[in-house]
Amino acid sequence: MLIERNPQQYRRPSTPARTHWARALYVVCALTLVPSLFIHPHAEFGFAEMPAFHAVLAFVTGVVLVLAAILLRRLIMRGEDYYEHRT
Amino acid sequence: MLPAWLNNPGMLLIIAGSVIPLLPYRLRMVVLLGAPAASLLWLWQIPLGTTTTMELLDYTLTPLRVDGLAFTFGVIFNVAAFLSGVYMWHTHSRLEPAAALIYAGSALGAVLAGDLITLFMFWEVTAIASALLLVIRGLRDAMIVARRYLLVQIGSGMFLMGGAAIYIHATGDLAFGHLGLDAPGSWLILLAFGIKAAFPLLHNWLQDAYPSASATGTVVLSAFTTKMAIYALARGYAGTDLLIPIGAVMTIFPIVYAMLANDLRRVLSYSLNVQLGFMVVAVGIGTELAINGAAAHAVTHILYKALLFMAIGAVLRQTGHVRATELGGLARQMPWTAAFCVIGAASISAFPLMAGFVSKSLILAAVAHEHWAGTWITLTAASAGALMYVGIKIPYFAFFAPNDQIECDEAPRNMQIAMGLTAVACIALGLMPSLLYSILPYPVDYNPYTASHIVSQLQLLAFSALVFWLAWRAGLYPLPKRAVHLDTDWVYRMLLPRFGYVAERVYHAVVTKFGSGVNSVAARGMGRLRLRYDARGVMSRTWSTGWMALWVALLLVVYLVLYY
Repeated sequence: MLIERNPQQYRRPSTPARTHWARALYVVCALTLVPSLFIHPHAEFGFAEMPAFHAVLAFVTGVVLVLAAILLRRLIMRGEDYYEHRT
Repeated sequence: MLPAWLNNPGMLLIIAGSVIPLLPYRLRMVVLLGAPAASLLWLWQIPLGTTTTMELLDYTLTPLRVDGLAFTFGVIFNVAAFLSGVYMWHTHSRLEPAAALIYAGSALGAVLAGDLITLFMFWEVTAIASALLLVIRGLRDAMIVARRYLLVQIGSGMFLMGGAAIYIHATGDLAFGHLGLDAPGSWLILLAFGIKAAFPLLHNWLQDAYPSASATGTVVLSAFTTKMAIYALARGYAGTDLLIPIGAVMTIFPIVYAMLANDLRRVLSYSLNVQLGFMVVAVGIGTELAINGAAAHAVTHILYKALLFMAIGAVLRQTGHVRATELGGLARQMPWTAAFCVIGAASISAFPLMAGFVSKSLILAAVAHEHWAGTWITLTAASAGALMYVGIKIPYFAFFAPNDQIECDEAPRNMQIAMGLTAVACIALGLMPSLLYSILPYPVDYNPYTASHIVSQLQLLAFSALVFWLAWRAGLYPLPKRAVHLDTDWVYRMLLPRFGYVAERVYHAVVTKFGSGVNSVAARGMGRLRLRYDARGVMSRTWSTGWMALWVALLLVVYLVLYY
């Protein structure tokens, strides 16, 4: 089970441009939360009327998915030629 | 007046596809675009509620039935055939446009079929024509994949045939209407539909086959088979509660695979599976709002998924690479393709003003309206996930990841036009949902653009982007790797062949120990077994042929038992 190392270096040191984008993302996240203070949705479910419900749900889902992907990869990842050596 | 079996827009496409290989290049291209356009116009002017019948032996077939549900799927199938025609305009292959048109025509024919026998016939033609799309690429791997694919597809047809035979015999009714789970033969038919709709554990043919077709072939493949199955489910099993958990599972588990996959077309195939889950849930809910949602989502999904496959197909054609580990940095060389890809990605992530938003909302509203709280949370979570596993992943790794190794040109003009048209359609449906809602099976009284809905969707998107960024920065987001990630195809590509191998070894051990007692008949039997289960490629397909024969025999037995 030999996995070749990824040849690309995705993780570059952060640049000013990237820091700006990251800051912009934080600001956008904060901005989406502001209206939920004023708008009271009439959802079919009581829990969905909680302010910022969707933000919390998205965050939790994202964390769970990343963790699930990390764990699953440990279980199911095989070498690229796995199906070619099957005797 | 046309004979009844010809009086069908689907047959127009099939006949056009059959003559295409005989034509010179320019005429071929005229037919490739003209046939879907003519078929669309034809379908458009058939009044809703029209049916035509014809006699065949003792049966009265209904080769054409146009009602609201069939109309929606018929329209989008024609549009998809047209757009993929534009996308493959540059190809000089004679077979690929032919296979594409026949495939589209048979899917259209299946959607317009009013009885189970006609449905079965078109069902099988889609299997063969779509397998042809894989075969004509001519690569050895693609041939092996095509064989696996064809066996699964024909298997689905066998189940449909068996189920339909039982149903027709028991009820004396050929009509393909609502079946439900209690109808005789109904489970077999559901299994047939479930295979093509890529239900969990029956799904893996999709991720196996779609990444193996040519750049143009995958675009065609992505549109028809699975949505034909969604149509069939909506027709036969609307309101079947069982479909709700099945669909909910479909919206979640492929996400993780999509996050891990390296081949970008495999990522898209897993995400296609997720989107099918939304439609299956909607069919399971079965109210008018839900069926509208399923149909609307099929329409928008065909568009934005085709757009994404087109963009990645263009990348594959221009660079020869399709895996995330080899790609990156193409935004500079292929700016238009990158822009179209971002539109497709925004659409699948259900950004407000994009097509995915207005169709997914219908499904979520229908689920909420029937108070399926757990399912609603699952679907909402799955649509939050969409941004991570495809909305960001696809454009980033193809176009924006750091990579200065690749030199290439922008995609051919016709590909750009096809992507442009599809992108415009995605935005137009998002901006003017009434355009989409006007072709749905039932009247729509729904407005996706309420303040609270927009705000909650923006929260969903912003915060899943935030998780992506935090996970990325912390080095936790699983980067693409050159590797195989096991899925259910492991069972028939590894486990069963291995089992055969081990059985043979055990047999040999036994023979060498008690050799004299074994007669030659058994030895010959084992020889045959070895032929089937031998290593390298031959195993899985020969094994499948054997199984398929067994299934056919089983179905015939079931039918005979019920007959007497």
